[in-house]
Amino acid sequence: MELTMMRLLLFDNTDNSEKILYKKRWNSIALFSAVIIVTFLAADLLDFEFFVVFQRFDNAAVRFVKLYLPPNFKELNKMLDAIWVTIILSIASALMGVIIAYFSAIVTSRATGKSLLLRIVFRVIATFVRNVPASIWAVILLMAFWFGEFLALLVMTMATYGFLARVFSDMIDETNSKSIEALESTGASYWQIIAQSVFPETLPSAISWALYSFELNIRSATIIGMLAGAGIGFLTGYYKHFRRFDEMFAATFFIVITTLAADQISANIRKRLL
Amino acid sequence: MEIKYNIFGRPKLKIADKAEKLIIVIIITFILITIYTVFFRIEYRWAFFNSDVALRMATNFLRFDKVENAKKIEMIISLLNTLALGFISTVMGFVFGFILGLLAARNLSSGILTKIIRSFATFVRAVPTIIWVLIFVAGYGLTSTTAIVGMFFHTLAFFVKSFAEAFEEIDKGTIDALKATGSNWFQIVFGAVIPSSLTKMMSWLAIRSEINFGVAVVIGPAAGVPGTIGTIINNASRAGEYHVQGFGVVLIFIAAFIMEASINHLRQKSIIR
Repeated sequence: MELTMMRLLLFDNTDNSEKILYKKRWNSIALFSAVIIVTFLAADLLDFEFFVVFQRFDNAAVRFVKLYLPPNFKELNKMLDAIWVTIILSIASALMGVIIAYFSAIVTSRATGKSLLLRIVFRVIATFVRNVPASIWAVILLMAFWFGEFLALLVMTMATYGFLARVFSDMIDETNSKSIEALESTGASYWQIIAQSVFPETLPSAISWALYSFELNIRSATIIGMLAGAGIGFLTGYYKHFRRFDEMFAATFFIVITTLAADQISANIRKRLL
Repeated sequence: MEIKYNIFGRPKLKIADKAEKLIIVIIITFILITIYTVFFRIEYRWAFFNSDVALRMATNFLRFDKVENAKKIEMIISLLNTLALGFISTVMGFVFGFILGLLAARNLSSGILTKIIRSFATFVRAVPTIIWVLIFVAGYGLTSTTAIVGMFFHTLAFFVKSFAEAFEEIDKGTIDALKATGSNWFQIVFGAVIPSSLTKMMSWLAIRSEINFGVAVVIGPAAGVPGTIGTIINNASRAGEYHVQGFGVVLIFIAAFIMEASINHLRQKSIIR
């Protein structure tokens, strides 16, 4: 009796797992062919011709050399100033975004959020800000705020906030709930609990995230600056607009150096923090 | 022995000491630079701040009834174009990035090839996507093909770096065991590399598709690629048609939100399995 039961179970098991394996394989084949079909449909929609790139490569290379080379460093001072503005804007917007995101995360986190209504409102705001690309915010706010560093700062702060609000909310959820309970039992007030338990526990990773968002801001500064009118991105867009490609190439050179340096510095510091 | 306390009133531990000093230095630097930027460096052009425009924007932003039906259809088609732009460049970058990532992983490839591919990828990644698009536009002229190739280039470098790192984290024992049974390189790739790094590859793919959607949206206003939703929003913004602008932003939001939700869903599913 028992043996038959076991056999049945075994048989059932193998049958089931085979079925699952079969289903999984089927799923991946279906997914794979769906991706291929959608790719071809999308290529058709956009009149995409990949081989043109190889066919006209020599022509393109000649044009590139004629337009871009040699790099023109005539406006070196202007470029260096623009790079400096880009760096300090990235740092300032990283810090401001981190602070706003932190407070919003305290409200939205399950561990520390008190009011359901506030939680929902802040979540909706963060989701909306996060899912509309930062550059679109620049386009939208441009008409009201006009070109300039202030708009760039605003847009980059919004981008950092949108990105970090969710991260910080998860981070606060994961903090040790025992220390919060212990402080609650001693009669500590809400803000005392935040300051004594949640804040010190999350500070190192918050700083690490601030450095990471500085890195991201440097990377996105070119495109935001192009649309919002600040820093090296603005200069690049300006050169492109007036077809001064040799100077644009020089500006690109500075962008590359800044990005690589920011990556290295922030990665090194973050390694030492954690 | 005397117990020292840190700034939060907790006993100081020797290991945490250095990191703590570093944190304080970083915080002070960030605050000082922010104060300098916000109060001394930025030019505020309040003279240009147009409260009238802001008010009209706020009141017209969600008036979808004012958007004509033909315009709505045009915008939805341009959104599809934008999605297609992001999709193609992501898929192509994924395929070629996977191949180059295998060649750039130190445990699967060897010596000088790894170094060449890695430094190439690092350099390509440091140049922003939009600059690549502008460079290709200068060479080939302004078509969607150029935009895709520019985006593909940056995506490729992104995937090479992240995939190579994911492949290097594979357990060395698995590869050695397969090697001992006499498996060739392709058998190792399909038997060990793909199964054990699939989840990571999928999360990188998810991250990059979101980034590429953002780039595809903005490639219109920044590089001048026609037929994308970014171009329509930009033109509407300049023409003062704030209802069109609002409709476009909501379309983008819906597309991005669906993408994010489905990615989260897939990710949770793959973790459970």
